[in-house]
Amino acid sequence: MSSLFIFTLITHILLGLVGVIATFLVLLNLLKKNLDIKKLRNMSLLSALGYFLSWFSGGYYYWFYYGANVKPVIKEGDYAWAHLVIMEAKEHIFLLLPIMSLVTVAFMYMSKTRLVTDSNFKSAVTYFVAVSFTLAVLITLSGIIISGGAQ
Amino acid sequence: MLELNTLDRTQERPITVYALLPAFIIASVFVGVITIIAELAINSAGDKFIKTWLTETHGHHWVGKGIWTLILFGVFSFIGYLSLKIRSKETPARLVRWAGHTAIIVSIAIFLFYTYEYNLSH
Repeated sequence: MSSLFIFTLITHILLGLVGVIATFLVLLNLLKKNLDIKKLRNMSLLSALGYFLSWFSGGYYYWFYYGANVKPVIKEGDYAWAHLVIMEAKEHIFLLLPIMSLVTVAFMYMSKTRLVTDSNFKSAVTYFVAVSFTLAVLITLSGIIISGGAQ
Repeated sequence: MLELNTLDRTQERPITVYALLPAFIIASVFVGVITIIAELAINSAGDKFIKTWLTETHGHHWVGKGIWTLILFGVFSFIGYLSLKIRSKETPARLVRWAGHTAIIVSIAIFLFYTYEYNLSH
């Protein structure tokens, strides 16, 4: 693998982790009684940035390297399901995450009043971010399984 | 109709935010539908023609799905911004919960579909 693809793969992983951790911090802060809106805004922005950049770097790696070099190896091996189920599901479910993160940013920047005054709305947003975080964790775990399948 | 004059307009632009939610729901459903249909739609020549079209148009079928998901999200966000009416105080929270439910349902559907496809062929 060339240095460019090593770089894009590592970037994809690290930025994805940034997104996941930032989403977790948004969730943690939403669970507090007194909301720190500035922190929520910063973490939601960081999360969105992480997911979008992870998407682009991972997409580049996937398009120009994984498809021709890694996928055939996995499919021919003992763990074909690592690509045929896990990778296929991961790459499509991931498409939801950047948009969920954008919506979360919008909540933090445009619904500050309602988040603070409407507990029903705050609870709904917390649920939405929890779903986003859960999907992000499952996607991260999927990446680990796929790496194992390639080994 | 939500009484917008009770809200601090410098703090919140409700329609802008809430318009994103139906748009997200539509975009999520699109992801689920295009993912499954692209695998199942086969023409008489045995070609997965939707996947082929996406690849030929965008370089890779997955890239195409991502592009169209973003386009749909943007278009329906704009349509929602122009047309969405909040009829009760509960509507915003309800929209958010439905957005969360949709993400879960679509994710499960995609995973189950690929599991089913794998079990069919192995």
